[in-house]
Amino acid sequence: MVSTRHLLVGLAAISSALAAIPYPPHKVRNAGVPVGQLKNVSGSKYHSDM
Amino acid sequence: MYISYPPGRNTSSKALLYVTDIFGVPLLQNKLLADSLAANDYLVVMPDLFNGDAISVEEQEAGLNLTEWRALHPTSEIDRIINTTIGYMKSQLQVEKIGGLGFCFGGKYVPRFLTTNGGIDLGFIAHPSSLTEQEIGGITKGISIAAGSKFISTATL
Repeated sequence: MVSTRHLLVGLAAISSALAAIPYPPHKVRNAGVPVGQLKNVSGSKYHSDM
Repeated sequence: MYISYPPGRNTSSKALLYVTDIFGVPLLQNKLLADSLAANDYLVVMPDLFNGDAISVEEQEAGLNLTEWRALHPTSEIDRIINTTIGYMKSQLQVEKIGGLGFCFGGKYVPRFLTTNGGIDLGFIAHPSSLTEQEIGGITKGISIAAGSKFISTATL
């Protein structure tokens, strides 16, 4: 039986391994056009596109 | 910040906080995925976690030093941006319930806000990176995790 601790340790191990492997996103031609909005949100440290 | 609205509406009491990978808001696929979620009647908010310094596909393929880049974007700063975004969603967008989505880099951060007063009500993460055992143990709300079986250490299961 898998204990919760084993599951947590396993997940942390997965996570560490993934941190070392940057993945390239798929390059999909004609994937579509975004319909959302880019907004600058004032009142934060990041006055450019937050 | 990229915001994608449910069809025909510009408000919603329920929203998704989309915590991106290292490619961030500029990546077309991230925006398209946000749009597809919005098409299912969710307001989707995707903050720029890197203050305009997201990694491009070209940089990644050219061999960017990821360690150096990560040092420019410490956990404390990412936490600050997410905190500000959650506050914005609740105070300015009148959002009542927030679902957090985290992909790869972002998968570390959704759990950090799934604590009792973290601000996110429910979470989903896919192939989280740099997630610590402490962060996993701190989760007090529902979460769904997608991780590839090839990375599982069979010795621990």
